[in-house]
Amino acid sequence: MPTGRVPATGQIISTAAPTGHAGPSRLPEAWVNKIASDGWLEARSETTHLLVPLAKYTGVQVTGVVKGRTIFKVMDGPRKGSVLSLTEANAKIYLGSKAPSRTPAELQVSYGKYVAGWHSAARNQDLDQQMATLTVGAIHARVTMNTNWGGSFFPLPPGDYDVLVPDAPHNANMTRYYRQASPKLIYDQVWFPIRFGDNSRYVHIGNISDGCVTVIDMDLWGDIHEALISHRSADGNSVAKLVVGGKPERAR
Amino acid sequence: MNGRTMRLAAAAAFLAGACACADVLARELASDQEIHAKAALIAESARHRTRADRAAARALIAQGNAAYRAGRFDEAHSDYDNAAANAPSAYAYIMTGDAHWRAALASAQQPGATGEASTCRLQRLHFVDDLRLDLNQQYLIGLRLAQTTSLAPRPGPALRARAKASAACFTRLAQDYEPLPPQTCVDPARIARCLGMPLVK
Repeated sequence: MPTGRVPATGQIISTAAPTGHAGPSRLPEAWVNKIASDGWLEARSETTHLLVPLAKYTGVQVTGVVKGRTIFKVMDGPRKGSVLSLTEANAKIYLGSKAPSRTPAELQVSYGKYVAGWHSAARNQDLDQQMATLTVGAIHARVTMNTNWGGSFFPLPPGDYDVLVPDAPHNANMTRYYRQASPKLIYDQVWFPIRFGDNSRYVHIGNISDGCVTVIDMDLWGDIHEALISHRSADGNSVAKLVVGGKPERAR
Repeated sequence: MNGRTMRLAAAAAFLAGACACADVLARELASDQEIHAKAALIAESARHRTRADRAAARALIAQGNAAYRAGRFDEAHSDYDNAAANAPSAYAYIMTGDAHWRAALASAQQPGATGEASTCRLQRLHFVDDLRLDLNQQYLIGLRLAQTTSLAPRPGPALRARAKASAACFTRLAQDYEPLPPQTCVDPARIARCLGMPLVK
């Protein structure tokens, strides 16, 4: 019996196989246009039957409907080439015709002050933050560029970087608790990798930065997420050009 | 001359242009009353955590312990730190502080870009502030929570004793470095002695 996860709720559902038509589809290319509150659409792999996460605006080619499930091939991003499926009902809800912009977004970060003892209400903790301002389109948000001092982490050096398409949901336990202080927080499991070193720095939400661009203004994250994820570079691998300007007051 | 008087004297010297210290007004070690009040607030907040919060904290502590045993102290630090944010416990606070300084020690002992051992990865400039931040918000809070609460997981007596010794050692270390010039190199061996053997085996 086919099963799938309702992305908005995480509920695993089973559907009796209807007599849906099979065979190759002539539908045009479609895109992931709707995602769950964690920022992802999970579809079933036709190879392994495991759930595979897709970021918003991932391009897909629908190849047909088999036993009530819409089968599609992923056309770009980290899951490119995978053959996945959704129930027909969910495919109608979560796949659509809105394509991403074919130019990378422009993301600017300008270094600001080093603020010792910045209070995090969400964590009930004072933190030493190298602050900065993030600008994307008309959005301006406060970010911290490093919180974890004394070890191997340091603020991103000034320069230009690619911001990559997110590859998989990050651990919910690292950010879910911020919802107590920011109940409207969504898409917190979407972390955008920055092409630098081993690509372990991200644009993400939170109050703790290990050398990442960490968005403190949680209520703006939904808009920032959309401003980034709705863009793709020509090769489909990145969503934005990040320009880091100025100089951190604390470098190490 | 007590610590506060010394700091004020250093500040006065700095303002008079006679001191090259960049952060003479280093943060102070929290008083017993401040630690008690903060720990009480944290204990109170713990009562409002959900089952899901506690499960998240347990999962992160298990991850943190695995990373710690494998010597991945940066990862362990992040796991313990987020465990405390999900559902506070003495164990999570103590281990956050311990893992942070083990990660700092590992970084300080890494060879430089040209292969030679780095001689001055940690300088006094921010060291006293960084150390006291962890004492105020991790070690001392964790030790107080261990005394006054039963928030799970509870650190055992041996771990508590070791953490108490580390906190006392780091307190002395901060005092020793506070009057020194900002470019003074911090001796990693002194951090290693304060940390002792890993707390989790």
